[in-house]
Parts: sequence; structure tokens; C-alpha cells
Amino acid sequence: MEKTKPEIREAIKEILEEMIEMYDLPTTEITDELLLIETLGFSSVDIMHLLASVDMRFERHLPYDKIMLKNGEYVSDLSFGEIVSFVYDNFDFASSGPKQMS
Amino acid sequence: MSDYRLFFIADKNKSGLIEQIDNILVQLKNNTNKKLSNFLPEIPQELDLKLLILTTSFKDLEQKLDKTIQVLSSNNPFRFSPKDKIFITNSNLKPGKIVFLFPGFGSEFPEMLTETSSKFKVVSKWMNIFEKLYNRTDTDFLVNQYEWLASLLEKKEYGVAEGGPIGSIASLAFKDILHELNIKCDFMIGHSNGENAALISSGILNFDSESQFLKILRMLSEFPLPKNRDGSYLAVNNFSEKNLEELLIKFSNDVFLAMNNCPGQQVLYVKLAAQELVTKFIKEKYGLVFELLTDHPYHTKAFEESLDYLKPVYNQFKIKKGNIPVYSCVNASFFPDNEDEIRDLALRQWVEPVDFQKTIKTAYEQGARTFIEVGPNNRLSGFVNDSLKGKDFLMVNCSKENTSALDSILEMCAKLWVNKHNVDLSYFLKNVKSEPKEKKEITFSKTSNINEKIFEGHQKLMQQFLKVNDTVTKSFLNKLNIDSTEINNASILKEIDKLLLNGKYKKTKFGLEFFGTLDIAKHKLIKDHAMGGKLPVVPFTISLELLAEIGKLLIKPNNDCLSVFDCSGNSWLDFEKNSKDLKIIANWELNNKNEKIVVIEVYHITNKKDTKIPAFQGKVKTVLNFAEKPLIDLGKIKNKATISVPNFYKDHLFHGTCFKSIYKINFWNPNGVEALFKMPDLSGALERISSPEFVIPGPMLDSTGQLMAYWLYELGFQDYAIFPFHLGSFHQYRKFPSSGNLIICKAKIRKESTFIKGDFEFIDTNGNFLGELNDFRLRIFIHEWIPSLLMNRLDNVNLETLTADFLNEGGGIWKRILAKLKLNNEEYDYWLKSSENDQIKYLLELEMSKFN
Repeated sequence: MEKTKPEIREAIKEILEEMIEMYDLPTTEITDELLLIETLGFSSVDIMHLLASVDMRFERHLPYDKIMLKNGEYVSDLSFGEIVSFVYDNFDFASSGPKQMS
Repeated sequence: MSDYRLFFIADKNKSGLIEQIDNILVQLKNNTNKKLSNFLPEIPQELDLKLLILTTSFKDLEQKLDKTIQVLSSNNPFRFSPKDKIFITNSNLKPGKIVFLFPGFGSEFPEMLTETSSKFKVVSKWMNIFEKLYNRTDTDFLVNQYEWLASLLEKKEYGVAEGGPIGSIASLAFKDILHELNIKCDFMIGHSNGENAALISSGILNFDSESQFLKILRMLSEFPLPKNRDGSYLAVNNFSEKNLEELLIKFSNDVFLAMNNCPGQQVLYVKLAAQELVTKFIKEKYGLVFELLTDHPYHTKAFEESLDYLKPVYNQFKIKKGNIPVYSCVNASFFPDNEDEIRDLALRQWVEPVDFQKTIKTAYEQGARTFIEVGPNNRLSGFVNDSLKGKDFLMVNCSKENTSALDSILEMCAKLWVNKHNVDLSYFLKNVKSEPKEKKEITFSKTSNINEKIFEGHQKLMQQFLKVNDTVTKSFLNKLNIDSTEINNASILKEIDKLLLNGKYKKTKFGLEFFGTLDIAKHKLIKDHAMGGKLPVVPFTISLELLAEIGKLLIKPNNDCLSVFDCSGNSWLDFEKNSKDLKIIANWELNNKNEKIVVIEVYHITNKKDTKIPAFQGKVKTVLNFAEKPLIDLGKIKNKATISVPNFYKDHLFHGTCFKSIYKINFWNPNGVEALFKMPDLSGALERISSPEFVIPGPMLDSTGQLMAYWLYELGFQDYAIFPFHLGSFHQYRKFPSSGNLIICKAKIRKESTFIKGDFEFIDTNGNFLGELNDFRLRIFIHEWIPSLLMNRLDNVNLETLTADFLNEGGGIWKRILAKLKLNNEEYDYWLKSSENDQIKYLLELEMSKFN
């Protein structure tokens, strides 16, 4: 199942918009440069929620340790664009998961 | 010192607050004297709705007040982005108990306490503990305490076990800072080994003396690894409680819950043999799994055998009931009163799971509404937010990675203040620039007592210094090709005599070595870049020229197209005397595209024994792919300059004619600046060469930094200096025009918390794209003494704001400028030889003597 980068961007954007709404954050324009921790005030746990939602949306298990951990420690921030690029670059190499559970 | 100033107002209700802001905005817009300090009010009285803005400039305040009006005027809840730094009362919050949360293993990060002692003297005590615990020696004399600590943490030359006390000691320092700020709590909770910091802070664990405390810390750092360590920690995210239960039952012999941090994250200890199956199980349920670095299986049964070692450690403490109740994360209950029971429970946390989620929920049920993370980093904040999702509470933290420690503390205080907690904000108002004091006569008197101490310190220092550098030099020389052949300059490049580099070259197996001297007494070029007119510093962009010249010698390109890239400065190439001996080592290599790249390291030589200090490094290659046209688009806003270029040079920059390239500002806006540059007149810049030739336009490039300084000025910054430390790349697509010609410079600029970053494009008047400079980074220093030091105007300075921390900043550049300005040559040489501490003490005493 191939996905174009714009399709991936749109899907992740939708998930992030839902989270912004759920967390009562101010309306924010989602650009590639948007930093999740600095701009939205996300914690690493929040970023994990986002990444897990991306997995569920695409029914994939992406190797997020490559983007979340540097030298065994969580990275200090991630931009929306970094996540989009990571998902796009790793999409075809990720193991596919079972259908989303309702 | 923090970049921020505090602006605060309060009113009974929203409409009152809007009216106040409207009035202030009118005053701001009509004011011609754009000084921020004129608009910083006193701390207002306690009223229902409080607003606090952290602001950096007049314009920044204006924009933030505009934004506040928009948010307040809408019918939506008051929401601001974290980066707005606008804080307002959350009227949903009800009064409640305050809890201090102490983080555990792995919370530490290199800059966690940097510069805090400039504001909070209590931190020094804990910095001294670090020094003693990790044996800081005189070999580290080149850096200050914070730089030393940061370097220790960056190198990670300790196991996780040793890292543990570091976070806890920092937590104790933060707890003392909160005490200074009058922030108190009702309960305490420690996560993992952060519990020790909580127990010490609450008065439950006590020690008689600093040496006893150090002994305990050393014992905690050095306990042995368990014999049968056959597993690793996995952090699991997005894994439901039901799934976790199923996992723990299915793999009951191989998986242990170590930490239940929050609904969204647990940490498991998993035996290596089962790791693959466990990971597969978690991923099938859409959990995310990350392997964590650890060298001990804390909080699991596998750690049980270490208790025999830990019991005597806890016996070292004197145990009392304590002043503040502490929750144990073993059972989510308060620590008991009985001494033996306290010790047992404190020990149990090492082998029992940390149930942080349950403990936080219990504290909330028992009235906790404000949670303050007291320690480095802000990871517990995420756990609390997740555990109490949907409830009304306030979570703040006093530290955050990539944010200056003082800014994080200030932000925490702002959030507490608007939400009506006791906090002594006046602590930060001492930052606000004071009005100039009455002029005092400056006199200089040396005391023999100080000189004796300087001499003793110097002797000790020099012995250590020579010992260390001898080892480094021997090791380095062993790596060099000793069969190299010395050849004269002319056989390498005939035109060498016209270049900045002039000295001896040696061919080596993969490149060359250069030895030479830059002479301040001769070169106008160097004298034109003297801070305060007294302390010359080799400009970063002239160091680029050195690299380009060396690179050109080795690559021998057919045209002028060169790239200089991955450049960074290690130390100041400053001139303590009249000349600077340089050694440059260049080696070529092929990159993965088969391009020839020259890797160059510049050292300055400090004495005849060939002791080298790394000063600068970078790489050079030919440009193969030309950029066809400029890409920088600064947008439609075109603000006019509020200061003329000559006045900006006269009042804000210390540069001489060789480095004055800014000719006219076309426009500026929040994205950057467009300017006209005039290629500088370099005749006579190098003493022995009437018409020096530069491989790249180094002197002109210095003005890119000046342009960034100008941009900050237009944004309303005051009392700052910016010094380069990194360049991503400079691509030269064609030769730059000669002196007197105009070129256009487009600069896209962005300010980060501690540095400013710019991308530049250069276009000639015919529209030809000459080159580009990318990712040029300059560290920002802010202090009210800076303009006076750089411009040599010390007749109107505030002596109360001169501190040791400031003088030590930036590798000690400020103390050197001050010493250059105040001491004659003989005195300066003497001062320079003294220890770092004595140098500072001497300058501070020298300044204060004006009042005596």
C-alpha cells in the first residue's frame, strides 16, 4: 500500500488537529516547522499518543525509536515536518499490523 | 541573566483588564522614546484576574499586548501558545494543596543549572558538592563551574547509577531556589530515586555535615551491579491497563513492571530471552516500545540482592519525622513516622515498582491542585498531565531542556503568580536595568595581599597546565607524519605572498602543515577588530579566509568557486601580546561523492614548547553545483531603518574601516534584513602587502554578523553582543567585486533562546548571484555592561551589576576586555597569569574600590 507524502501529511495533520482540540490548545497553524514541545507544549507522552495514533491510522508499526531516541534519551523536540518525513521515509519498510481494533 | 523583563497588571475582571491594556497600548504607540523600562509597572495588588507577560523588547511587548486583547475580546477560553510567554489567571482552578515533585534517574542534562548562581547564591553550595563528588581538578581551569559540569554530563563518562545522584543533587539546588522565592509546599513526592531528594528536602533524611553527605552520595554512586543481570528496561507507550495485565500474566516469569508513570507510559524490565516476543506482543496492540539505557534493574525483584549494599547507606542518614509529608510511590501513602519503618520503605522503593500514576491520583484526591516539578527537565509534568487528564489542576516545572535555567524558573514563577500563589517576583525585578548612576571617579590601587595570592595561584596553575599540555602535545605529535619535507612557499603557490597566510609550510602525507604568525602591531586588519578598541580578536570570518586559503592550496581549483563548510570556533583567537602564533593542519580526503575535501584544524601556539590550543576548524571543497538564483524571500513587510548606518556603527559596533561593509539598510522586518554592502577598502590592511588578495571576502562577511546585530536592535533588544561560533557553509559562486563596489545582501534571520541564526545571499548590481552563507550562528550575550565594554565607555556603568558569572561568560571575554581597559600593559600581563578565581576577584575588588 503506497502513500504519497501529501497523503501522509494530511492524515497526521488531522490527528494533530484532533489532539489540539482535545487538549484545549489555542488554534495553531500546522506547518512543517511547528515544534510539538516548544509551540504546543506537548510532553513526550503526548508525542507518543500522536505516533501511536499514526500507526493505528496507517495500520503500520513504524520504528519510532529512530526518531524519538538519540543516544538512549528522548529527543528534546520534534517538528511536524520531521514526523511527516519520517513516516514517509519508513512507510514501506514498516511491518504492517492487524486491522484497527474498534 | 534572563533576557526577559516582566510586565504585569491585574484587575477585577476581563473588561477592566482590557481597558488597562488599551490604555497602555495607546501610550506605547504614541511614545517616541521606545524604552521598555518606561513601561514596566510595579507589582500590582492582588485582584481576581492577573496577567503577566515575559517580554524582551518594546516591540515584543506591543505585539503581545495586541495578542492578549484579541484573546480576551473573543468569547473563547483564554488560551495562549507556550511560546507566547503570556500568562493569565485560570479561573477554573480552585485553591488547593501544593505538591513538590522530585524527578529521578536520567533527569539531568548538561545546562540544567547554568547561570543560576548569578541570581540565587544558594546554588553555589550544590555546585561545590558536584565538584567534590566528581573530583574537579585544576586541569579544568579553562572553563567555569557550569561549563565543567555540562562537559561532565555531555561526555557521559559515568554509568546510569552515577548519573542518579546528579539529578538528585540538582533537585536539591532547585528546591533551595524555590525556598528563596518563597514558594512552599504541603506534600512531596519523589519519582524513582528522586525520592531521596524528597526525603532530604522534607527533613526526614538528615546528615551531620557536607563530608558525610558526600560519603553517602559516593556510596550510592558506586554500588555493584547485580550478578544475574539478564534483562533490559523497555518504555512502553499507548498500552492500555488491560493489555498490560494480559502481558504481565502471559510473561509472568520474564516481564516485571518497574514504573507505572501514567496511563500513557509504563516502564518494564524484560528478560533478554523474552524481549522479542514481548515487543511483538506490545506492537500487535499498537503500543510503542523503546529500549532504555540502564545498568541496573531498579524497582524490580532482580535488584533485591543489592539491598544488602544499600542498607548500610541508609544507616548513614539520621532519620526524623520530618516537616513535610512525603508520599511513597511504593504504596501511594505517606511515609510513616517510625524511624525503622521509614528506612524499610525507603529501601523497598529500590525493588518495588514505582506507581507514580496512583500516587499522583491519590494526592489529587487528597486535595493537591498545584504540582511543581522540582529538578532538572520536565518529564514528570507529562506524567502528571496524563494521569490527571480532564481534571482542573496546575502543573509547573522549574527546568526544561534547551531553555535557559533562569528563563525556566521565571516562567514557573509567572504561572504561579497569575494563579495566585505566593511567589517573590521582586527577585526578578532586580534584573531590570537601573538608571545610570552618578559618575564616580575611577581609581586603581593594587594590594600586595591580592598579588601574593595571584602569584601562588599562578604557580600552581602553570605546573598543572604544562603537565597536561605536554601529554596532549606528545600524543598529537606521535600522530603526525614525521617524514614530512619542508618546502618553500613559492613551490606551492606563487601568489602566496599576497595572502593573509604567510609562513612556513610542510608537506605531509595527505596534506600540509602551516606555521606562521599574525602580528597585531603590523596588521590594520586585526587592529580594526579590537573589542573596546583594546582587545583584538581574529574575526570568525577571517578564520574562514584562513581555511579557504589553505583549502585552495591543496585543491588548486580552476576558478574562484569554493565552499567553506562545517566551521566552528573552539576558543578566542585573541592577542594577549602583539602577535599570535598559529599552526594549521590540513588533510584532504574523499567524500562519498568522490569529491576532494580538505579538513582543516587551526591551533594557536601558546609557548615555545609547541603547546597548541584548538581554535578553529572547518572543511573546504570546490563548488560543483551552482545555485542559479537567490531564494531568500523576506515577505512584503518593509520597515524603514530607525537608525542611520553611520550612527549604528558609531554607537553600537566596535569595528574599524576594514570591517565596515554595511552601506545602506533597504528594509527590515521580523524575517530579516535587506541591505546594500560596499566592499571594504583593504589597502594597507596587511602591513607587508599593499594590495592584499582574499580567496573569499572575509572582511565583508564580518558585516553579516553586524547585520544580525542591527536586526536585533530594530527588534528592540538592548545591551547585547553576538559572537559567532558556527557556520554551516559559505558557497562562493564567482569572485566578489573589488573595494568600493556595491552588492545586495539579503539576510533571513531567526532568534533562538541563546543564539541568533542567519542565512545570507549576495547579489551584485547586475543581478549575478555571487554566493551564499548558510546557518551562520552567533551566541547572544545580554548584560548591561556589554555596550560599555565593547565601546570603551566605562564612565557610566552600574557597579552593582558586575558579577563573577558575567565576567566568566563566553570563555572569559568580558573579564579580558575589562582588564585591558583598566590595567596598563604590565599590570595586565601580571593579571593574566593569575588563576581564574583570582582574576575575577581582582577585577571585582578593583571596581568596588571606587566607592571606598
